[in-house]
Amino acid sequence: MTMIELSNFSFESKKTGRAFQPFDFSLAPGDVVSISTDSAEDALTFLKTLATLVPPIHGSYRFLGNNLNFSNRQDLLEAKKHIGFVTSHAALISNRSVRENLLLQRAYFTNSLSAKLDPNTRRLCKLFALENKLDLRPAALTEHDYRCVVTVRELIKRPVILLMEYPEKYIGITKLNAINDILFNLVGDELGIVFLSEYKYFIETFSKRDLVISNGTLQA
Amino acid sequence: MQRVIGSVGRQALASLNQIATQLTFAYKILRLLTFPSKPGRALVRRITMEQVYFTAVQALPIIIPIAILIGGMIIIQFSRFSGQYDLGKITVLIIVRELGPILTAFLIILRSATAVTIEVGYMNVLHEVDALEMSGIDPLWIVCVPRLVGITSAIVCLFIVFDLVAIVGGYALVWIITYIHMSEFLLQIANAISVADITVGLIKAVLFGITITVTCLYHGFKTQRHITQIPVAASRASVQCFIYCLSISAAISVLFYL
Repeated sequence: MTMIELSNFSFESKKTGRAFQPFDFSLAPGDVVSISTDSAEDALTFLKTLATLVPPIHGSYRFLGNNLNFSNRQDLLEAKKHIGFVTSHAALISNRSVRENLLLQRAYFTNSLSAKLDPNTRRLCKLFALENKLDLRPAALTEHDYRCVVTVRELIKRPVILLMEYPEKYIGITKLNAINDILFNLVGDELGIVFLSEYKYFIETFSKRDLVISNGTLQA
Repeated sequence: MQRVIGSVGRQALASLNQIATQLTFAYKILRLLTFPSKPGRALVRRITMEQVYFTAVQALPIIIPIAILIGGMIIIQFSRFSGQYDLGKITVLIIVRELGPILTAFLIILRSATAVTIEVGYMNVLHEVDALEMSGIDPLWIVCVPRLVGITSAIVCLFIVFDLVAIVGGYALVWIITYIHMSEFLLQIANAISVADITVGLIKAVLFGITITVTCLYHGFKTQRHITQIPVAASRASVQCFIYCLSISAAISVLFYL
């Protein structure tokens, strides 16, 4: 079963303001796709479309075998919670502490307000040097730490698809290299990744195929 | 002439469209209250408690002196006007029926409603609403429902506090210049007040709570792109809340007392 299947799909280009030529795209479990583009904005819009944050102009979007209905945002929540979204568009909830941000999804779905982090989250917080910043509000974090918290939050979601925009700039090459093993394991566990990057080592290590977004077209 | 009529017509249609959208939005939020098995109940409860704390508890040091001053002013004026004969009746008429609910609503609009518009506006502009959705969390359930329940219950509680403080505190403030005793004054109020007065006050408070919250959330969520839209949205929301509350208050008074 494919995880994502876009058919006769089109979205609006940020660069030209026109619709993309209709395209088909699919992502299988464990598939890792790198994006090459002449417009980072179009690539981000494509990632946002995959994250179901931007509605398509036309075409259908099947997620884990289900057709998505973009006319009702609440119907998209079930798909969204399985998508890791590590891009410049991702944000933390500003009136909650870092700890509460990390625990928000668990608190929501388990009806538990426990402030205790699970071992996996603790391990990732240690890796990203966030242990002493858990009780700060996002506004008190540096931009780098803010992005690290977003990355940790998206990784602990146990997503089935991870979307990343320039991870080497987003969390820095050192931190990116530090989570390579984690990403390898997740890909081994059938995580699909679509990413936009200029970091050759990362592309060569992970990418299984290339996707070109250029001038209003998308070619697999 | 045609242009003027056209312009008026377009504005009327736009206003009707906005009211219809707000009513739909209110229906969507209120409908969520009928799904008790939805996930996130613990979180919703906590955010509701926080909202009640911000809107009701933190407003007490402001509303109590205002209620005493307004109660005092009314009692001073009417004690001279009516020779204190109908003081209890007039106090019920003015404070419990009209001023209590509306002044409480105005205070909430000034203190909390604008804050809600700004908070939700920021959440929208800074993609925090998208962040909630990306976690599978329904923003209507986690952002709107706690604010609706919290602000509405806060207005109901503050309305009761306002009435009690305005009557008792107001009398205490002016007891020197009045001839009637406290017990006599309270007896006059007890004779003058009816169940309908309290019910109408509570109905007004609940409707004000729903109207204020929905209007503020609507304007907050409408702010999509730029931070500069947020103050405009806050200003529009507070003016609309003001007009809606006055209209509701007048309509209910006409409906029950005319």
